[in-house]
Amino acid sequence: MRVFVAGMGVFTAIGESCAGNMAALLDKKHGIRASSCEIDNLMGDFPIAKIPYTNSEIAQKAGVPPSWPRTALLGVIAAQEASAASGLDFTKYRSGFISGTTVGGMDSTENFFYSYSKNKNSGHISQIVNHECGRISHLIAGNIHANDFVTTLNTACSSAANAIAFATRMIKSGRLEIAVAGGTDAITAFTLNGFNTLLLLDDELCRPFDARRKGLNLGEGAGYLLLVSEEITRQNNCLILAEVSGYANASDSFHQTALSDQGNGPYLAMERAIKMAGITANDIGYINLHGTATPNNDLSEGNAILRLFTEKIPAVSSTKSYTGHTLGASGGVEAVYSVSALLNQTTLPNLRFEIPMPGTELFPETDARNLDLKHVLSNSFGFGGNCCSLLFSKV
Amino acid sequence: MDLYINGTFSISAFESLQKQMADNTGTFTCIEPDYKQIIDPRLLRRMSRIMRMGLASAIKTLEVANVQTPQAVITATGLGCLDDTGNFLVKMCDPENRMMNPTAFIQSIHNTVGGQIAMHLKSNCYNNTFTQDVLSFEHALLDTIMLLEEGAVESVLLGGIDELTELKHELSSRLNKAQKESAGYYGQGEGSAFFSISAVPSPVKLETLILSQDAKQTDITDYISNQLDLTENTLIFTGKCGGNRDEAYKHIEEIIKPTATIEYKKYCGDYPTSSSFAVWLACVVLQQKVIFTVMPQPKQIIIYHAYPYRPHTLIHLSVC
Repeated sequence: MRVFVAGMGVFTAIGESCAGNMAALLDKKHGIRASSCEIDNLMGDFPIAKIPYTNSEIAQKAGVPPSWPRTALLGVIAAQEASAASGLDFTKYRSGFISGTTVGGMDSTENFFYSYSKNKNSGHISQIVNHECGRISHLIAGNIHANDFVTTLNTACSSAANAIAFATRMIKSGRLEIAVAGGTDAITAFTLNGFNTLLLLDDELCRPFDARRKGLNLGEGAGYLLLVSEEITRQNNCLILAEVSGYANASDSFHQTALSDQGNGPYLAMERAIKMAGITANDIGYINLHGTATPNNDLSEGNAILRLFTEKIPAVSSTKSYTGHTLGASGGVEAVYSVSALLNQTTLPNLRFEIPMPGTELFPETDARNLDLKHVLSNSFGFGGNCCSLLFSKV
Repeated sequence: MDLYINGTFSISAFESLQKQMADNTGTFTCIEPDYKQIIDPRLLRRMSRIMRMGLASAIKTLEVANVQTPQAVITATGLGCLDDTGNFLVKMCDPENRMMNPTAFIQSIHNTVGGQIAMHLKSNCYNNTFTQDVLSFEHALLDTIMLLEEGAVESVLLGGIDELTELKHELSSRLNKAQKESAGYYGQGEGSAFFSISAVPSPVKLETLILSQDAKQTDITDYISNQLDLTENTLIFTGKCGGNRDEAYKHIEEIIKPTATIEYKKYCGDYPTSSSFAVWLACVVLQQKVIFTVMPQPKQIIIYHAYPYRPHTLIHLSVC
């Protein structure tokens, strides 16, 4: 059973639709703002890629209550776009919603804790009702009528990629016919402070794969693919954007928050995904990197690429130089970008790259370049050494 | 494909069948083993409670199953690593003493336990973490079944884990009060239960997992009515937690009576991944290590969960 991408939706600091995001990527317009001063309770000031709309504004666009956590609000916009594209009536099929998130309803929980920390009896308890990651998926699934199976993965920054892989398997096994899969995460003080305590944030705009990279910029957003079984696409004459031809998850098994220098997990995830598709490393035309711009990630990922692609190194770039690191959503956002690259037969630029990492001599794409792309990889790696690669192929 | 539970280990509040009550705080707290006997004490020092519970259960399970390295580690948690999440949040929101600890942030992430297990095993295995409130464990079990059926792996280490903290107890009690559903409630619980699952025959067979897809729970009622022989020595475990949420069981009770039924949350309390405890209890009961007098020698156990506004679930285990 083959599984196809029949729709996509994405909402990030660079745009609120696939078309908007693609235009910004090709125009080299990033969405990272210089200061995080609008967010309370931060120890420091950092560039962030925050979507420039309030919760009420987003709720109004989506037609949902403004009391939803921001993670759900960002997610529902992208999920609605992904669902609408094909015109399929989800209620006629076994339809599921499979989503990755790391913070869940944390933004709302934080609001509760600001009051609670001053007085233990204060705070609106309703603000923590949607704290659980699973609640976010439940809210979004109800809105897009993909209710037959709803689940959530939280494997840190690879959550959405794992969600897409799991959804593909659910369709392959016949358990679902349609799935909207990807991820969503809002910027919260919790994650900003967390990454700050780990000294992983750059106080300037991030520089993925550059020798002088200092760390990541946090972003927020959501990205979903509409995955449909071969049979349902045929019955409905769906426009097919790409095939999910491979996916693989591998543990790096080195450290809770760092990848091994030689990139064992990243290597295995990419290798297994390529093997599943029945192609060779030489067939990969472009890799949308995990490329967080932390010294550790980029070196590990770079070394894995050099080891795997021994004959010909594909075009590579990190679009986190536009969107910041959208954490649990990044695998979804970048899956949309990867399929877009395939559809447009173009690479996506990696901003602010000038000097290659010593010892790797990897040169990411700095301009959008037309290429004959047949197979595109999308990498996502998370804390706990959780590595996932997705492979999309032209149909 | 026939699948079996080759080994299991659990850390829970369960002591014996005689003890069916919460402790004096109204909660069910795990009786924890001496971790030094299981985990390297140097590593232990830096581990949170939920990590200790999870890693210890995982190590013991693999020992019992005699599996060196599983090819997949799949964990389920409804609320994740709550203690570290709570600590980081409270410090962050305290303007007087905003001392945030990176370790609390690192360990707050839901896949901390799963990642630690893979690291402990030095394995490049498949690793996934499901978090869909009361359905988290069933979804992780579904992934387990799918991986084995796909032939992608030969053995899976599966676990369900949730921890109860003072903060969780306090806020959940406030929430329950606000939602007026505390009358008769058995109490909040916690636990960790792990399983080694493969196609290698073992005494406990995993017959089926059903996740209902429609509001009438047709899949489950059909299975019970048409495919199960309830006249065989059968024991049913329900996830009743006391109070008005149990109304969701009404429909199924008509179908299953008069089969011997146990409300397993009387032993472990109510928590999102408590069905993992139910599967552990079913394993020990099917192997006659624990005996319920209502059905001393069950040949099969049905674990049934019903939730308001959520799909119902059924797990069917049998003894070979």
